[in-house]
Amino acid sequence: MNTPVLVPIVEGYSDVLAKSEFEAWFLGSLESLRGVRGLAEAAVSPERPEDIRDAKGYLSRQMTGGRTYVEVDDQPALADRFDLQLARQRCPSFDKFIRDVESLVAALAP
Amino acid sequence: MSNPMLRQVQVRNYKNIAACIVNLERLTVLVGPNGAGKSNFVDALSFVADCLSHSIQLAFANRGGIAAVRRKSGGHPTHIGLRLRLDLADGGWADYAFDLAARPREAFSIARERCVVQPFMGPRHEFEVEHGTFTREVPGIRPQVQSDRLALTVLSATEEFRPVFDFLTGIRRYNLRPERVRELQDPDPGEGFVLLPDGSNAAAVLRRIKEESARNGHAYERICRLLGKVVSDTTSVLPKSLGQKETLEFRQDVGQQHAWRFDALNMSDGTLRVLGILLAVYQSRPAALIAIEEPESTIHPAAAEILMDILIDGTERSQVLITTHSPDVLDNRRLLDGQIVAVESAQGVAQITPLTETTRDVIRQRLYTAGELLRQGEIQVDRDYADQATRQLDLFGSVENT
Repeated sequence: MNTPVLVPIVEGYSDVLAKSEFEAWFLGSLESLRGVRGLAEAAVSPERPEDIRDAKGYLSRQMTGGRTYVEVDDQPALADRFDLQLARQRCPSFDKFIRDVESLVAALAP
Repeated sequence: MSNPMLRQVQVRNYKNIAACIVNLERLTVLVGPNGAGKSNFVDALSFVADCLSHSIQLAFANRGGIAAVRRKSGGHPTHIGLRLRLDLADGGWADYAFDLAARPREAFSIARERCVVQPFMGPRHEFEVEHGTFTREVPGIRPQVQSDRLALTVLSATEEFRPVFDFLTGIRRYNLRPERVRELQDPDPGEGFVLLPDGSNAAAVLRRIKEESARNGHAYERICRLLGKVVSDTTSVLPKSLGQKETLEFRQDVGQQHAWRFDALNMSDGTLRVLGILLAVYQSRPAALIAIEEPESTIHPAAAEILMDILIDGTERSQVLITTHSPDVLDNRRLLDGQIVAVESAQGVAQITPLTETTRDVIRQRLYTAGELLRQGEIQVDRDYADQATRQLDLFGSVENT
């Protein structure tokens, strides 16, 4: 399921959709999330994380100690910690998201 | 290896159910008006668990006697029949059915009982008993059977039939009662491994989960966080001993240096029900199947989505069956059309079917959510399916996997 990420800012707007799933962005920066919510210390980003079907399930399988990924509980904690630069390099949709945010912020500047 | 699950249930003459064939998923939601028969279907499953873990006699007695359980009918005396088809953990399957004949003066006998187990690899095992005599025996075993005890209880001692017995006795129906969670609780003889149906050993279950949390996916921490999402400012809940009794203590962040502490006595029904659902999902010894009726009742509508997320996560541990008439529950975008079962009553007889193909199409194409359809009164039973089920229901029919 696609998770729409809407970015409304006063001076303009831009719509960005995470490709496949919001969680693909976590997969793109998995190395930076090691140890968070039980993610394995040896977890490595898959190739082309945006092409992965069921990114949530993939995340669950990277978790240790009988944990599973629960969106409502784990998403905020992971969003707080994931490495934005890594995610940009590996997920074009996240890169577009950052570029759009940057240009909107730039448009706001005097 | 995957979790075993109940794939199909056939019920005949149980309370207001004359005949139904219901396919279940890891999560299944029964939707329908009050008095339609949702609870009776759930009760039929817990009846099977009671018959196997205690006795048929007791299972009837706890439900007000045979007359209260057997479907009332104008014509001939009716047999109560159940058939349960399981997917087993090893990739094989099992098919278990029994038929109870009512006798005069609240007596009954088992007319027929059959269990077939097909492991993923290896030969098929089966036994069949008719009126107290084996018509198909398990080679090498000659157990004593009685006409008022299910043979599966005896044959559960064998490796072949054990998984079927374990699954069916692991069906737990929860009817959480906030007042039972709130009052001081006696020490739990079961040491908190299994949550009781009314939640009356919640403190012991929470204590067990907390002790085992590191080995159990940090379930305790998750319970506290999720509770905090439903009941704002709640930061944790702890089991607490008071002399010989046990109770719960809630902590709330009120912006001061120390969290305020509240006893269970001061917590709302909604909070205690949410905690009960969390404990049912994350209990140390997971149920094979948890059935929860109207999990959303006394809970804020906005919390319904979180509640559903919790139950969907719960399917990693247990199969989940819920009943509801809440559009908020059905609005969850992770709920698929095939996970919804419609229940209606026509002339006092329950009809339990999948949604009609048209309705399923509408949901699949995302024209409406199931919740929106429910608000418009468009969640209806499939009459053709119901008629077909009445004709096709066959407790002891071919076991070939369809």
